[in-house]
Amino acid sequence: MGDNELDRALVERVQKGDKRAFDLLVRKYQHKIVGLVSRYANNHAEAEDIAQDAFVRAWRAIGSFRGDSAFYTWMYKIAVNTAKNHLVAQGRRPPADDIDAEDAVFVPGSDRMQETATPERELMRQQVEQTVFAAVQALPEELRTAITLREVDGLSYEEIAEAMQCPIGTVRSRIFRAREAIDERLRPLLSDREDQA
Amino acid sequence: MNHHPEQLSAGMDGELTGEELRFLLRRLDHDRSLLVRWERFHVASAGLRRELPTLATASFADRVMRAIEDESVVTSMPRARRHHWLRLTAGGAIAAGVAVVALMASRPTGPVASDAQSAASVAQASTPGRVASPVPSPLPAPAAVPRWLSNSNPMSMTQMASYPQGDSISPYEQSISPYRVKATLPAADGSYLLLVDPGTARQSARRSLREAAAAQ
Repeated sequence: MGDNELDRALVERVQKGDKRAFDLLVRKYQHKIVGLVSRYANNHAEAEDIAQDAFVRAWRAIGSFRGDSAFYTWMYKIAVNTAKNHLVAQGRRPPADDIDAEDAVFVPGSDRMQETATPERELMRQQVEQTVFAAVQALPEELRTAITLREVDGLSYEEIAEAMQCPIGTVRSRIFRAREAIDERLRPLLSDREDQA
Repeated sequence: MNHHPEQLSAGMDGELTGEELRFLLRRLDHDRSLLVRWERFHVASAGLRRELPTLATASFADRVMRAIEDESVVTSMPRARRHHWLRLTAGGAIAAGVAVVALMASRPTGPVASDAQSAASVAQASTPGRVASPVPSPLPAPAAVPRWLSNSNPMSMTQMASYPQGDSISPYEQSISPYRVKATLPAADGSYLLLVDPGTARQSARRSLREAAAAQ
């Protein structure tokens, strides 16, 4: 089960009425969606309002999601449409340079092109990124390799097990330990970010 | 040892079976620390891939889920209201249907019926209990087809009404105001051919109008 398959499994659970599964999707994609709609918003608070509206619309419409595309692609379209509707309701013109939803898994820095991110938020983002890299550099070799093959190269556990010549259970454990080590460093930083201006 | 965070990590990579995922979701219902860890794992993952956008506020996801909770409450309320209106509409439709049936059973369609007669018949037909009196009356002897029937439009004098055969008592043998049932001819299919005298209907309507005028 890959990343898209996990999303699909979560969506299926949401369609059966499991709100917790939707909660996981929100927590997984919240930053991406807020970042995406930031290019339509005047400030971060407005971007979060639009993103919230987009998630609520997605919740309402999820029964009609057939899984023809990835969940994020579907969510992307809803977020962009919500942002455009928001602009029209405000009497503002939506930008004409739309990114194609199929290509828009992530556009690095797209939200940063706008003035929505305050210097504090941008600093926080950079700090998080630096902390993650510092934590990975400090990992023992086998943990660093496992997490890099998974996160950067996108290999499955089976492929990593083959590459590292170890059982899948070991891969699972190494990836988890790597994440725990990164999380330990990240935790104090992220708990401080509550409602920054 | 607590295996749930490791399951969370494997779940994040899509390496859980459907059953394991279901178990994890159940666990997440009771363990908020796991939920927050799921969120942080994804931040770390995006950071590793250099795809980290500006972070949403820490309370953003909770806010979204609260809005969805509120949404569920709000959408269930109109549904209840819709059912209320549905009940009212259905009740109204049934009442209207009964009134139409009563009207069809009592209203003359022939050229002899004047507006005043129609108004009187509608007013009286809509009076509850007048359409089908539960008090049976003795079955009159079958009448020969009267002279006034032979040269007129039968629809001005007759109505077909379905009534179960058995004790051979038709409710239409009672006077369907303002018309007087002159005769009831039972048919083989369980229905009755009612012979109604429009002359008595006219008299009855005139009497009603006179009474109404006197009351004023």
